[in-house]
Amino acid sequence: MTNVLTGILTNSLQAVFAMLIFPGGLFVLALGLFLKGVDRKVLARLQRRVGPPLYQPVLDILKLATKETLIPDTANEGAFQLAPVLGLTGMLVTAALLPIGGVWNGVTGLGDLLILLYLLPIPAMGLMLAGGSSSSPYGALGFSREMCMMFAYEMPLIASFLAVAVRVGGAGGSGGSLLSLPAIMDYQYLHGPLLFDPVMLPAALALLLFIPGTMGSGLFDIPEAEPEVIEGPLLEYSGPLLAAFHLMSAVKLVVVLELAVALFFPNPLVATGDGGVMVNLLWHICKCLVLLMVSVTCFRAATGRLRLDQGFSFFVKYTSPLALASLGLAFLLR
Amino acid sequence: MLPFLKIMLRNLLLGPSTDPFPFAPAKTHKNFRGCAEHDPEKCILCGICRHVCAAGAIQIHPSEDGSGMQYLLWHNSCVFCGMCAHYCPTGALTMSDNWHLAHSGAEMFSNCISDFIPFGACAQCGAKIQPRPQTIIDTLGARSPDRFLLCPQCKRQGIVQNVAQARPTRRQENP
Amino acid sequence: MLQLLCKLASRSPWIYRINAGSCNGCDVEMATTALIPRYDVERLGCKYCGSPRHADVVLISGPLTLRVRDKVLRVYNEIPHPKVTVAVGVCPVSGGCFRDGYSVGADIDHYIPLDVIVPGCPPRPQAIMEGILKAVEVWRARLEESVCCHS
Repeated sequence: MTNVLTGILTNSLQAVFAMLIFPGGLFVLALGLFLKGVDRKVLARLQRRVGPPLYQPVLDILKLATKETLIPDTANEGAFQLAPVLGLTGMLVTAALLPIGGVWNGVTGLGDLLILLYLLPIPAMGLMLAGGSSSSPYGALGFSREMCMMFAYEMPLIASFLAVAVRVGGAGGSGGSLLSLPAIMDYQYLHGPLLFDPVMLPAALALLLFIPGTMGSGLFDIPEAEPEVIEGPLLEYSGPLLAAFHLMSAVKLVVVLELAVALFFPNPLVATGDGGVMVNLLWHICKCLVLLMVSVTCFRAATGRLRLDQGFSFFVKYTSPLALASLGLAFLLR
Repeated sequence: MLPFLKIMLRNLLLGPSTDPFPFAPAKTHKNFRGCAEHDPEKCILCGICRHVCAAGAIQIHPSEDGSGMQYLLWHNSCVFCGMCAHYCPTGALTMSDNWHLAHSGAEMFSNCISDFIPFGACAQCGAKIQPRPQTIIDTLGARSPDRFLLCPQCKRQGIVQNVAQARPTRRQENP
Repeated sequence: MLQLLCKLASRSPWIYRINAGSCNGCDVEMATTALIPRYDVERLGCKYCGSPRHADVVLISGPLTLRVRDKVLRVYNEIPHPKVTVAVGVCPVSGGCFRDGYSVGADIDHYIPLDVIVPGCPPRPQAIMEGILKAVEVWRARLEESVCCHS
């Protein structure tokens, strides 16, 4: 009896620790702001500028914390204040669920692709709530654009999730699919990363295109297009609430990158145990950085913005078929 | 294919091309037209600068005690067109290359050139005339330095006397 | 602690541009400071933002024509405190060569307090950056004042 109780207690303590400090919470916030800083710095270097210092996003957050918060008279005040909190907490929880190869295996029984499918659109939901409640025409435009883009990029995401699951499940011999992230990672520790699996290559490419889509960078800077809809849903936000949105976007960046790493290349560099964890963590951050450079920074340095309909049809025409091709191949080769 | 990859790589390798401006002095071209500079030693109060100033930045008005004129050029109205310097006959107005003009809002009206230019005195009768600095006497007044220092009235009298001396009895000889 | 916060916070001035009937000359120079690698205002932590709600430093250009006056004042009031105003070019201060025109009312400083003035027609980008640096100093002082008053 006591054993069970202490088991539950340590489990829940572990979960709280995961949410607040290590892979979720503080760690993810710090990593997200760092990645944002690297993104801005490298983008500046790609444009032959000096660029802001690496810690600039932290300064931005501190600055926003000192500013006054204005709420429009016509806005729905509750929803207006709820939106950033909802998005940020949703993302922090998601970050705690993601396993890191060789460092952390996720909260027991929760690292599941289905849960991630539900949690990943939360920031988009937060933005939509923000756009809808701010009573600004630009907010409403941003709301509709965000929703359209969400429908567009969810499809390749689901398809590549399924492709990975079918591939892993098929190889497991059960003939079914495996939706558990730790199991997917175990499979890759045994059989090599899915990134180098020719069947999964299209799905990896689709996920690579999903990242800028959901982060709204480069071609897909549509919902928060600054020159067109003046940052859309964020238009009316100021002060700490805006800071919450910026933190949300930083955490979302980490979540999306970590998810892609976990699905396609989670392999640790060295075995766990005395110091190996730190090396693996650095290795994981390196992988995230490379992915960030490819899918966000270079992508947005090289491309301009598409129109909403073009962006939508890009995902329907090119990205989804890539992921679906992987899914079909995985089914056939089961 | 994908030429931007080459450009991005080149940009990364070349490094930033940013001027170190706020932390080091910026390069200014020698022909850069910055704020105007006024040399009261050369000004003869002709007022052509005020006349050609499109932005109305120049004001010249008599000083309170009447001993000279107050010359005002407000940098916050000047548009750096350089017309005043172009038309200035004596070179009193020049365009410098100084562009460090940012100032706080409290100094809005003190950001100007304000020079007092005393009148000159007629060499003969002592009446107030436009200033006659030495540099101007050497250039504009080089042809007849004596007459250049007179007031209009003395000048006219002098001319009349000259004419009278040159042809003293012409009218009496030929009635 | 609060002093440190103010010091750090004032290193991320976000800039918002208001065109109060400007001829666009100054706006081009402002865009230059951000878009041309040679000037790169982002090095100072600045970012041009599209929404007045995100702004800290307001750059105003143009002589405040009658037609835009009410709109400019409305947008200015949308900006959260503490904010700093920078007049770019001579038009906001004196009207420049538009002074006494039929469509130009009074100068901007009758309606909006101007904290920093960058004269020029247009001022060169480095001069605008100099003005922004001056504005940041004003902003830091204002920030310290407001933070100390709140606590």
